[in-house]
Amino acid sequence: MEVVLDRDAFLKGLQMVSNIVEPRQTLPILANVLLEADGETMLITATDLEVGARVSIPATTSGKGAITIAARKLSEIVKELPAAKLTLKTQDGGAVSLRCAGSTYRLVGLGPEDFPPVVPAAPPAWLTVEAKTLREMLAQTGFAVSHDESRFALNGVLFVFQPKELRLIATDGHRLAVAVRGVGEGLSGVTGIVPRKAVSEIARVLGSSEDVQIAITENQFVLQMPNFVMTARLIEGQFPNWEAVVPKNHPGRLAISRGSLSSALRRVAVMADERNKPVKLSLAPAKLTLSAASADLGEAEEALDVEYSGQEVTIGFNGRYVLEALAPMEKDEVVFEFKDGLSPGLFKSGQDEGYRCVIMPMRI
Amino acid sequence: MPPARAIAHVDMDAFYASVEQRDRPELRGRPVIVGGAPGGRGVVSAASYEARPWGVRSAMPISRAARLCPHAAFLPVDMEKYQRVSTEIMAILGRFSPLVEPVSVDEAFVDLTGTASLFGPPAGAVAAIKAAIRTETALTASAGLAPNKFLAKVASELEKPDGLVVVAPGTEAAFLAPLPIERLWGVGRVMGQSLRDMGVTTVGRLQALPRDTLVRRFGAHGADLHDLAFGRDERPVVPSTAPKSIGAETTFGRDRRDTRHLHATLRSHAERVARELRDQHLRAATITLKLRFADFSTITRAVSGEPTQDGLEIFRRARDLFDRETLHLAVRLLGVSASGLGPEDAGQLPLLDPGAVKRDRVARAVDRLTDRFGEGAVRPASLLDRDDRDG
Repeated sequence: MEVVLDRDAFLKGLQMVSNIVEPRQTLPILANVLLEADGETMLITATDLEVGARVSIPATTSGKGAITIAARKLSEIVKELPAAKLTLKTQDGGAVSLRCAGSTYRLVGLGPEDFPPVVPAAPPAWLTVEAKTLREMLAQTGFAVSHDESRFALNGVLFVFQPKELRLIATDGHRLAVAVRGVGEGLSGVTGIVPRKAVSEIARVLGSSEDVQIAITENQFVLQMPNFVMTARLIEGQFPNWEAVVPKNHPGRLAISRGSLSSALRRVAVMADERNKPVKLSLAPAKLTLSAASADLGEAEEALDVEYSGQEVTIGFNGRYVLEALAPMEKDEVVFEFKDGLSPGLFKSGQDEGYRCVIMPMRI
Repeated sequence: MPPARAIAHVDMDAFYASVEQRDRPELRGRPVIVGGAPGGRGVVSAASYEARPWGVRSAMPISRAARLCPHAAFLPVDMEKYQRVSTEIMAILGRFSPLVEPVSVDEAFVDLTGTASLFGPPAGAVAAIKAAIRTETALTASAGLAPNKFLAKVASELEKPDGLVVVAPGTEAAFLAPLPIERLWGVGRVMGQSLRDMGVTTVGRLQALPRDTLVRRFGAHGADLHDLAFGRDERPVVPSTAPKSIGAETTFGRDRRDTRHLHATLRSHAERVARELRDQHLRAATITLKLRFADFSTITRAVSGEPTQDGLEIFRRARDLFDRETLHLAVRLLGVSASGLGPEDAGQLPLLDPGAVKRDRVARAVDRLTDRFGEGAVRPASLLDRDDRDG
């Protein structure tokens, strides 16, 4: 096969899929990307057996053909090449010659036969969602995904398709984030836990304008956009009953500027030892006091004037959790709902943005 | 040159037996052997001084002790009780120095260097420690005071019970010279015999040997031996070292195989481990199950997860491990231990297990009751119907 394509398009395509290749593989061929010539396009595919992606880029091809090449080396080379026409040509013995401007490479490849197929299931129905919306929702949940490998059901984002609504939920057992958006059609009652790696890859490749289509089948999550498809094996396991932990009728409510709460938190949290010491939020009429103390470091305190007339209450939180909960909000007003120092606090946007984050306090 | 150190080694006399005699006046003046029933399979954990003339020693099988001293009172080991008394004693030691290194439940090193301005000369401080232990716990301790840990330990053993032996700085070598070489740390049966074969029976004879001779004969250990023979020991007193694991296990009186009973035992072990974790402000990531079968074959199975100090959670993990095993034989020993220990992160409360916060609060309340009224004062209802508690 011989393929002629634009170096810039090739690089962009490689960057969309090659992150999926793990630094260490169980099979040697998983270190490679699959290059396939197919009429007016070239397909680039990468997989780690859990997550796979394929991108198609415009190319002039002569004859069908396929080869696999080490993903990292190929990316390194193409990155250094000048913006020009680039020619790939298979040689005898499973090698590929790559020519661009004055540079010539011969790359040792592996035959395509052993490359694990990345076959997107043919789902019964697709959900169409704006790329921008999906990216926001992932930003509002991805941070709360658990890294504890022993709680594998929490190692991903739960996608829940509802009629006219898409919900994403993530939790690490200390906090839980929910993003909800209205969507055109919606699919009823379909759910799946999408692994963390796929979530971060999706967020990386999503543009801002186009629509994307997503679907969940029995064991696969599929995302497709023009010239691109990604599949991810769903995490098997029972996602916790998240609705039960989202507080419904907390008596306490505080509305406050997100910007001033965030910056005060950042200043005070400097003196909190994250794993061991909370940042304390003490509410009294018209006043919110943030404080942190650590035996080794010292103390910090900051008071904010707020509109509050309820009972006095003090709740300790991991400062990072609160900051991460506030970060993906769009508008400046944040609403904090609470009950007492042992009950989960609820952070949401003043204007309903379809985003809520529940954080369990620390003992104080 | 820095001032000589003043290290005390405080060692309780026949600790378990003395605690029992203290709590049960009818046992005073009688031989008391702690370790289990005379027909049982245990070993002697402690023998009162009244039992020692009969040849009863620690670590000897109970059955043998029963033959040597059949009229003794045989009592089971009540570790909870000894641990409580131990905590009191360590607290007394802590009043005299912040540097207290417990060696076991009934002995500890106390670094009294530089405390003269507070408690007078160290020998007086040690006498005051002994007096405080006697008045506050009604128990006696023997103590050694010396410039280092090794000598202090040797000294505390010389005049048991209720002894106090002081090794003054500068007299180390002379103090050790008449003692048999087995008094030196690291001199066991094999090395003791090697030394005796060389004609070295006392520490004094050992002092006479050139260092090089010992190094040639015993390698690096020979150099240590030479230092010890002259009473040189630089090791500091290290306040209680953090444990690597916390466990509880039971050898059953008879081998068991009914799952209900074994589950109940797991639960009770899990609760005890959890309590110890809370007590030490630790959480464990790894829970290990230990099973020994009737034929003494032993397996361990472990699982790691979110660090916990919750008895129910530890039980669930241990039970899952247990349920995966097939019991081809009856179970002789069942144990649960917790490792991968880290600080309880001053309480990030769990979100997804709504019962956990309540359980934690209950557990801490129970811990306080147990501290006052003893193990078993409050326990999970699932353990209430155990009419045949082993342990």
